[in-house]
Amino acid sequence: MWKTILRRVLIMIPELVILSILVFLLAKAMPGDPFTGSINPKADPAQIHHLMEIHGLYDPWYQQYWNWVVHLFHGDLGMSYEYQEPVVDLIQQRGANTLWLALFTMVLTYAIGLPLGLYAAHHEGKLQDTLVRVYTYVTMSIPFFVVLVLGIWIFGYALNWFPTSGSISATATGFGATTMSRLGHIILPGLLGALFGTVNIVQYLRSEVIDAKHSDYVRTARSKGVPMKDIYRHHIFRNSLLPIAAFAGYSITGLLGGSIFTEMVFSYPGMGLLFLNAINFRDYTVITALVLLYGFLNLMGTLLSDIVLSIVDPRVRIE
Amino acid sequence: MSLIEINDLKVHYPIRGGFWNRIVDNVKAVDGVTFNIEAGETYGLVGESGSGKSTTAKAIIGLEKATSGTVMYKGKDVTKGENRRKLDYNHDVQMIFQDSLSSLNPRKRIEDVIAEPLRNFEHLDKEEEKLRVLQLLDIVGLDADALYKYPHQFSGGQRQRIGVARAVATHPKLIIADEPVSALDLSVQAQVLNFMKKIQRQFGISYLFISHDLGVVRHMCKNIAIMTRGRIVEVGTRDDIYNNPMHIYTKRLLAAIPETNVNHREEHRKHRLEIEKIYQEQQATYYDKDGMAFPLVKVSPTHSVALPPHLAKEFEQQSENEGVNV
Amino acid sequence: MKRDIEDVTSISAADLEKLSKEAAAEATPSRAKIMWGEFKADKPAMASLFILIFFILFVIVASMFINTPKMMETNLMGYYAKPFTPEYWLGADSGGRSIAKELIVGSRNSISIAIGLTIISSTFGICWGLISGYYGGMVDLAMQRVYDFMMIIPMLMTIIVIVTIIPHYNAITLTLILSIFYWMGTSRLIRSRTLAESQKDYVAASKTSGTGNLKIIFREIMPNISSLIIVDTTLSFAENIGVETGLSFLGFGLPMGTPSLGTLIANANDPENITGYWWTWFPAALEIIVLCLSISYIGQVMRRATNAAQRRGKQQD
Repeated sequence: MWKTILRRVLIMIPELVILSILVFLLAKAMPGDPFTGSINPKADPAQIHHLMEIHGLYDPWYQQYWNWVVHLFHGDLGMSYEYQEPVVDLIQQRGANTLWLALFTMVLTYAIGLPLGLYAAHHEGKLQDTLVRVYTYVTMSIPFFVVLVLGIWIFGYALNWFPTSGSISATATGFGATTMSRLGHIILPGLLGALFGTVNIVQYLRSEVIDAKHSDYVRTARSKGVPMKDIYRHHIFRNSLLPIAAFAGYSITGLLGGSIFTEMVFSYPGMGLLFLNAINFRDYTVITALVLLYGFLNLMGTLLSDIVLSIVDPRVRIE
Repeated sequence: MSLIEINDLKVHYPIRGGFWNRIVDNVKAVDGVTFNIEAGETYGLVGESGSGKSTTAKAIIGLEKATSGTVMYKGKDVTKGENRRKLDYNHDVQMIFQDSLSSLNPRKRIEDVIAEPLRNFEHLDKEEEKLRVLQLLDIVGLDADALYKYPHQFSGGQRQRIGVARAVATHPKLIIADEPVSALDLSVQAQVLNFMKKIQRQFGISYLFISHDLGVVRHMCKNIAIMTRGRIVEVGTRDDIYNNPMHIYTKRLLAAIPETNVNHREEHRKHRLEIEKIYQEQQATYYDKDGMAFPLVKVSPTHSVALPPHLAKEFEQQSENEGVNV
Repeated sequence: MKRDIEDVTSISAADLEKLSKEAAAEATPSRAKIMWGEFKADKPAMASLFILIFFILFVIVASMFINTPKMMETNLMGYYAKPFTPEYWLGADSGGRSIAKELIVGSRNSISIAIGLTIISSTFGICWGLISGYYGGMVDLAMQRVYDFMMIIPMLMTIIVIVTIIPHYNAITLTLILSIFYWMGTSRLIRSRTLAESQKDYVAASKTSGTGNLKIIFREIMPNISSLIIVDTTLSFAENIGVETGLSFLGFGLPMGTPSLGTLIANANDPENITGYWWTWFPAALEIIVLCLSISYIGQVMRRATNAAQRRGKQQD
């Protein structure tokens, strides 16, 4: 098993290198200096030219790439020109917000998806099953950003149940109040994200449980008089739960992509909103750092999932 | 000269393992198989599942890459793709598959199924092609209304006939039949076999007939090779194999043919158990330390057996003493 | 001994016409016909299909009569005009632009891009999956690595960055850029089915009949996974409507002055608009929901139609 994990990690290295080259080339295509953030992209051309020479921006690309990588390893992502702050600090502040929202969404997704999948499988072919299927069909069809807009319109503005912007209210003081305020700000976006992100879990769990219900080993167990409850607990769950847990890693990609929409609609100060602002201000160091970070997180997510799956399912390991 | 000569054919599959996924061992699916097929004859290749007989067939027709060895056809080695193309090899050598349903594309009408080799090798115009397909259907005993139907609308026996029609379409010299009747009911088996024989007489086709059923093989083949664990253990004429089996594996296979005569049932059973006992006792001497069969030794002009070294020596001395030129 | 096929059959050229007529009378309907029969049996699906086709045709034809540059001009008279008036059926936005007209032109733009994106990315994904699954071995391994890498790229961000960097682009270049990032789902689906399909004997039979690899892939295997392809393409179409509109919603889709359903919904980003001037964005949001649901629904019905066990239409086998 350790061999599998180690091999999977080794495969990751070239992916990481190619990703960094890609991000580097994207950054090179941006005007100004997207690496250190010391050049104002709106300055006059002669001045930019002078500064670019100083910062070695006319060196061969591989040399520049190498310098950039060395800086990355020292945790130096350059300065944000717009905020006049190291990019690392910026990402740390905003990253925490995105992380809370993503974690909250993920927990809710499982909390909604698991029981729904089981419920549908238990009532296979009946009205309840159909209703769950209609629910998954509707949630997977509608683009998420439309859902967000309708959600904030109804529950944020019209009903006024939830705050419509920010991550914490300015008046909250003390640990209890700030925590409650933070929670209040992520309930609606988290809930919307979860309600519209359960499709994979529900569909997978439903079909797994139904397959298991009709399998010979479960029929044998039933004919021996094992109660259905025990069969669920000992046979069906054990087989399907770990793969479902492994979905968490893959879903990171979706959560991060969705965070851009969520944070824009809810004016939630996370990395997604930071990215959009950086694009608008042409704050290239921030853009470069965020694209790289998101790619890295995607990579980690799939790595985690692959490893968990390879532990659960020996068939994956052979590949 | 033989129609096709298979010489020391080997098909090995690498087993990868270890950290760097290097080749650590080989599965020797086919390990040094040699035999010739004469024009117009039916050559039987017999063995249990996993003995390598199907892999041999696939390597001969080019579906499986040969690790080493040659398959000579018209003086060229057809294990090489370019030679196959140059010779239009698949125009002359066709195949019938075991699973008649899976071997016919479920989305193609029968007309297109049978016409496929024609379209690739004999560029006929539309009318000619349709006529040829109708004639082929007639030859295999199916009506014209089969033309625009789909494979799933036919019975197993009918589908196997369609498979035969496709194989015969280009008028090949050799048809490799990989367990063509094993998936069929006994009553239908005889039908299909008889009509394969009829076609052979009519067109002078050779068959490489692969089966695990010695009863069927006896009905079909003049020359027979017995295969196990990737190697041939006994080769001979029908008479050699059925009346004078010398390898314990062949004996065991023959003993396993069900006895239809009820009166001899008890006798047959005793015989089978006896053979099984001998097999278990002598197994170690008939295979080398890796569990592979020994090289073939000629025991008569038509008959070769993979005898263990000590028996092989005896035979050699015997034949030298008698001065028989074998 | 050796004879030709003509010698052993009684059928000759003279019988050809009679026999082919006989055969034609017994012909089995094709798969497409069965699927269509299934579709006709499902009234809501037929309704969705007709509404969808009618709607697409309508926006294409209607947008021809709308002068887009003139429509996009600011008109102070119509500042946030109320809906349901003879002049402004669906009201106007802050620039006094008619929402109804913007909706028609925007729908045409967004739907066209979604169609283009579906055609390009699905074709690419299907070819990728077929080739990867059919050849297997090293080819498959290499193609899988590319797929793995594409999966870890943060798509949305990368697209936004590309759109920001390149100086000029239009609907066509935007569609091409999006296509680079949206073929993976299809390719994975097709690959796994092709892997299974390639192991079947009919592929071996085609090889021994002398059929070339490309012909086997596209003429033998592809028809066998056609139902999967049709269903997947329909569902990706529904999904793809969300791609360009989502980007335009963020402000990085179609260039300024080119209306899209996304830019209309983006009106909701202004807290005043979202509550006070709901007509500026709500019709577009509603339209996207209805479009996506009906396309998806058609996809679901097709999936059922390809699954013989769930057929509702009359049996035609």
